[in-house]
Amino acid sequence: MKFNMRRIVAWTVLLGLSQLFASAPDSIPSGLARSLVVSPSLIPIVLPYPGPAQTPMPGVDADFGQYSPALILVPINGTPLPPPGSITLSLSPTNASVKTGDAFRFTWAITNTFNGLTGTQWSANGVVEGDATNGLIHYGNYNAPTNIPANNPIKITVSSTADPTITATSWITLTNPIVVPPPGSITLSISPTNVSFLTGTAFHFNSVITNTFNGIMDVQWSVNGVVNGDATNGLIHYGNYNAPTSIPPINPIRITVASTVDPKVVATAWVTLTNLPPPPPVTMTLSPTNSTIRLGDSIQFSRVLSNTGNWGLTWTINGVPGGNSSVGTVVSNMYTAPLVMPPSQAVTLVATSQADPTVTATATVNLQFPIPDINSSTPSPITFGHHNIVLTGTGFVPQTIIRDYLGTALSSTWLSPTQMVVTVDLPPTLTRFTSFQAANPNPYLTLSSWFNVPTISDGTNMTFLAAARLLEQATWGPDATNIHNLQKVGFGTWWNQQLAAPPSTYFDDTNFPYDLTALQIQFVSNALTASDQLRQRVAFALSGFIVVSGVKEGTGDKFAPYINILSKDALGSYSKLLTDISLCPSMAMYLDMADNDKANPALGSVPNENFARELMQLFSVGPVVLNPDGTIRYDSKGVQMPLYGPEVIPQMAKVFTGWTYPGVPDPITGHSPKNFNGIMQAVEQNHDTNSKTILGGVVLPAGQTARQDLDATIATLVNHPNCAPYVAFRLIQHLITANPTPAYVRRVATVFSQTKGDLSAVVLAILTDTEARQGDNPLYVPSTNSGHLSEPVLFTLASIRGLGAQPPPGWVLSRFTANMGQKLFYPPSVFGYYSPYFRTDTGLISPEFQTLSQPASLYRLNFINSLVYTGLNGYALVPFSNYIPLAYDPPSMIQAINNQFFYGQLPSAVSDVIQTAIAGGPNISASIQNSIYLALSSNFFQILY
Amino acid sequence: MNSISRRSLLQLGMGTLGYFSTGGRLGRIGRLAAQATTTAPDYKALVCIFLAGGNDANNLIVPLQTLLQTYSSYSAVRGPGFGVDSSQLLPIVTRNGDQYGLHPQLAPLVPLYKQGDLAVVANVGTLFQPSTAAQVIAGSVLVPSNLYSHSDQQSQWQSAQTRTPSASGWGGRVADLLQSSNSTATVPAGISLAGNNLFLSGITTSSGQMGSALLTVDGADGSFRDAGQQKLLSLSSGLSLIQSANLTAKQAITFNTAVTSALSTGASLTTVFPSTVLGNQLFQVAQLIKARAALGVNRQIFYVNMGGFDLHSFQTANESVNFPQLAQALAAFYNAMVELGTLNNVVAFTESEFGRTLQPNTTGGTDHAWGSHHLVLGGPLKAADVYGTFPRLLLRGPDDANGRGAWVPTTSLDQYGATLASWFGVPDASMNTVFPNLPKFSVRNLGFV
Repeated sequence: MKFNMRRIVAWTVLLGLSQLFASAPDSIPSGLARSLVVSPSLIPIVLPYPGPAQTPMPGVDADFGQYSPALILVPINGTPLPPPGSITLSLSPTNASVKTGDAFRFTWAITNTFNGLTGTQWSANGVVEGDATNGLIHYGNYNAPTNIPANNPIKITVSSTADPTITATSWITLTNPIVVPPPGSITLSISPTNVSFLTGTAFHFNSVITNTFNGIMDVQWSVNGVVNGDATNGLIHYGNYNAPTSIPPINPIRITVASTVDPKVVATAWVTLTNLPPPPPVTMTLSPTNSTIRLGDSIQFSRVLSNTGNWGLTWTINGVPGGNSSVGTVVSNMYTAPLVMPPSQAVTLVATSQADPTVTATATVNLQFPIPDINSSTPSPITFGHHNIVLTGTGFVPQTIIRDYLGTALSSTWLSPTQMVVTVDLPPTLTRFTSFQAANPNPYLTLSSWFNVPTISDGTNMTFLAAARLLEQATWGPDATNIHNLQKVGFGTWWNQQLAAPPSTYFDDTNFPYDLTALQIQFVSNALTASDQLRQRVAFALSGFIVVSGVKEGTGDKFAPYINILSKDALGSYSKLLTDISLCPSMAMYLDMADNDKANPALGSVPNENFARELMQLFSVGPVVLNPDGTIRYDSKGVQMPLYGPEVIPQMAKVFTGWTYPGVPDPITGHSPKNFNGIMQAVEQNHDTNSKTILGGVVLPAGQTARQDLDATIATLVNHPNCAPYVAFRLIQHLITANPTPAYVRRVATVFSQTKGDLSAVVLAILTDTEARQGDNPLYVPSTNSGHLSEPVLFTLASIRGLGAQPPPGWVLSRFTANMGQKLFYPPSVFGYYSPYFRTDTGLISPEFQTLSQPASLYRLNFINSLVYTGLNGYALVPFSNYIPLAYDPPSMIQAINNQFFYGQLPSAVSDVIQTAIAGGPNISASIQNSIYLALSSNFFQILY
Repeated sequence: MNSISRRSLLQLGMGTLGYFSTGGRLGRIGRLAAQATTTAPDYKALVCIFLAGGNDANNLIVPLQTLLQTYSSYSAVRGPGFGVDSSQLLPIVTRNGDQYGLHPQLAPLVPLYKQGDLAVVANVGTLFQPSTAAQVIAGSVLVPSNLYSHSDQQSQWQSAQTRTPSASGWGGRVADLLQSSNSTATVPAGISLAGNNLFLSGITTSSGQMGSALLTVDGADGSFRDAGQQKLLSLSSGLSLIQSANLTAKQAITFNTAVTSALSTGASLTTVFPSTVLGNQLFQVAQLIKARAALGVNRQIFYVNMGGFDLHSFQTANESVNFPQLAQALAAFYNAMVELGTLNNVVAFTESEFGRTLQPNTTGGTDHAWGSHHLVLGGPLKAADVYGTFPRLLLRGPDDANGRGAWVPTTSLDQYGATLASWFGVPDASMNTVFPNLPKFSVRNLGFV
């Protein structure tokens, strides 16, 4: 047998034959030998080594001598090791997956040039030749165990038996064998299977799986084959599909759900994605697209925007965003035209949708000049001659022309839409007023109403008729002297004199302690002699609806404060009048405001409602809603509309609590003894300080003083829209006519409103109004329903004044007027002597007719009889001597009567009757007396026109 | 305070206080010349006594012990110091046994009640339709316009029109209907002793008016002057107010002439009337009733007016003035009717624009309210009783419209008036024209006359 040295070494090593080589190291270069000493247990030795080296010689029979000397590592014990590289061992694959129970064959090779020994040893997981647990390995043939062992993968190792340090390793991963579920044991369905929806939508697919194979119901979802999908095609988890926000390249999209047990069991659904439809375009319609309005007027545009909820618009007017004062403005889609005409006389409005600024609509508004109106003149009255006056009104434009009463255009300057300066040159022939009219130009000519401005006479121009009528309306009756004076000084001067005249006053006279005789005497004296005639008439008119009566306030001390206030405030502020009246002890006693305390729970009593109610119903606003022209407003059923509900009265009653008479109040009750010197004083402990909701829902806050509550309430009343027409209507009725036109009332009410209740301005407006002055025209014929009855006090005083009778001081008139239904200072109730709406037998409103009972009508005749024939039993003798020359010529006499009592306006049918009586008189005195009796007792004298 | 001025505190709706203000009975022309007259078999007269200002009937009659309530209902609201003490009240008993007390100052009326010639109609007022307080508070019924306003409620009581202004009164409309009964009359059926009023304004007839004295045209001597005056009064001017004033004067002349003539013969009344505003007026009524034959009238409606009832303060003292005047005048009138033998031909009744709050105010008075109790006097009365439904005297109770004791009427003015008008001879077929609201009420006749 051939000696294989390498094998020998190996064997030696293996057999522990180290002694064999124990004396050999001399032949090994010491350096080398030393370098090869790898372990104290090995020593290198050099053996003859037949070349060429490294070629393994598998054969037998190797010629030892033929070997080249070679370094032989010899274990210390003397066994030689194969040199490196002399044995190679390969094994593949190095990783493999093998199912349990399967066989597997490795590819492997071994070479050995050292000693040719190619034996190998195999192990599985370190177990030589393997075992049942780790599988069996035998020369590269592996038989997997039937069960997967704990150590898996399994390490397969092969080593050279010639040199056990030469090894190769592979890893076997054991897997269980796949068991295919039988067909039909797993079913899977999806629904819906075909669906279409919008990109970006979330959608849930239902899957139903059955598994009779192993019960595992797990499924896996995929989109276009991608498990759980992706951003491109959408994501899916547990059937909840979130579609991508844009349509992917592949559409429809395949949704699959597969059983994790048997991935071949798949259900498929298709999603067809569609894009969100594009929002429909916003559209707008605007109307009107073409309209015409006047300067300063407004027009509301209506618009409809489709396909958007945002109907907001932005506007440009002639290109100006939002407009301006030159082109007009738009607020809340309402266009308000400018006050001055733009050159184009039209504007183009462009409305732009805020929702879609590309959407616009255009409207054209054609502009017309406004309808002008003239409201007031400064100064007023105006005097004769050449003047510049300022007319205030509305609707003025630079093109406005002001015309005078002849239609002549006046030189004028436009100041503003509400003011124009006009140059007037008043001729001295106009005696009462002059008229202006504003005209705005073509193409849409518009005219204002005529506006009358009172004019001031230069002293010679007021006609007898005009002067007499004015005195009839504004004084206790005209007489020759006063007519002449008025003609001489003219209205303006007269007016100023009247405003300046010291107010008549009244005082308690201890000579008459039991009644109002003293005051009645003073009243008659004032009426017959005092200069403040206008003030007295207005005060008396006010006493017709702001009433204190001697029926309750029946002595001079109690009554005088009241008439003094009326006299003092008659031509002043209405607010001041109401305030003074409210704090007047006369009124406080009359309507129980004095010592009207807040509610007393112990007694179960609440504030007295009397003053609160009548202050509203009679003194300021009236009980029903009025139109601005004083007419009563009716609801759709023809029923008057209450101005306030009954619940307002107790609230107003609380306002007027906590007032007592002037003086020192009792500290406990807070009440002073009756005292009429001074004004009522507040005792706050008795004032109801709760919040009060008064007329019109005005709330007076809690905690106000009595005076604060009172002031706020009076301001509320005077500013209430009813107050101006209410007061205007009553004053006109008293002074001018029982049935003023609504327009007349409106004009006067407007002055009341504009002047905040300045009674002098109101009275001036009443007296100078066209309707009051139209009778100054001698050709004017009163209309059927015009005029008013001269009430007893006026009738008797005017008769006495007109006849020139001069009662002595101390003379009392009231017993005469009492029989006529007007006992001076003793109106029967707070409603006065008559209602403003009293109607005659024909249904015509005529307040004073309420006093004209049948007996009263005879008392009136008999008063004239007494005056004319007896001088009121000698107290008021009439100076007839002036008539004596006339009475011999009945036409002259009737002319005189006509002039004196009828200002030349007596119908001839009447004068004919009277003339007959003159002619038939038994003597001159009888002729005079009969004719004057007939004149003054006739209703042509008693009814004023 | 001056009680003389207080007694006529309010005489709303009339302008004729002065007629009676001198205290004497001026010019009772014909009083001494009155003569006994024979009673026309079908003669009937209604006398409307208007208590102007709003009488507080809560003090006129007070429940003492009734089925529904006792005096304590009243005294709970009108306690000591303000209310009438129960011991002062004059007890009367109704037919069903309820006990009420009349105000102590109404003593002259108690015998009249006990004789069956005086009755009370409880809680009468203006209504537009049957209403309860709950309905009024809820706003579920239409109520008269301007409740609690003197002028409006006076007009409504006199016109029986509660939501629209009326140009005629219900007395005037009754006179219109019965014009044929007065074919020989020299004066109108309606006569006011208190000046102009709405009550007697008819649609087709006008009323006569008489003051405290009969009048003549002074200085009339049958000469040219009188002829001229007649011409002037008859001239057609074309001017409405002159025509109306002329008509008034002509009516006055005609009326005074006729009455002066009628009263110029016959014995005078011996019954003494109190010298008060109401006494003077009722005296004149009695005079005119006495002269009925000479005046040729078979139906007469009179209107008299007494003011002073608007007692917002010092009510207790003022009622002590007012109620005696009322009672004494009524008693005198009753006696006069007995004297004239016309007791069974005449019914007098009260009206007043509203009652007053049961709850007092802080000045010792009461404020404007609504329904109120009224007196009816005369032989034709069926029985003395408290007719109608007495309200529960309870603040915020079932009859209270405003929490202060303003009673929602349980009997409408229309029912009250229609009962009187029916007795007076207005056929039921015509009743709705006199009382337009009457069809809304199931009971058309309260049956007290």
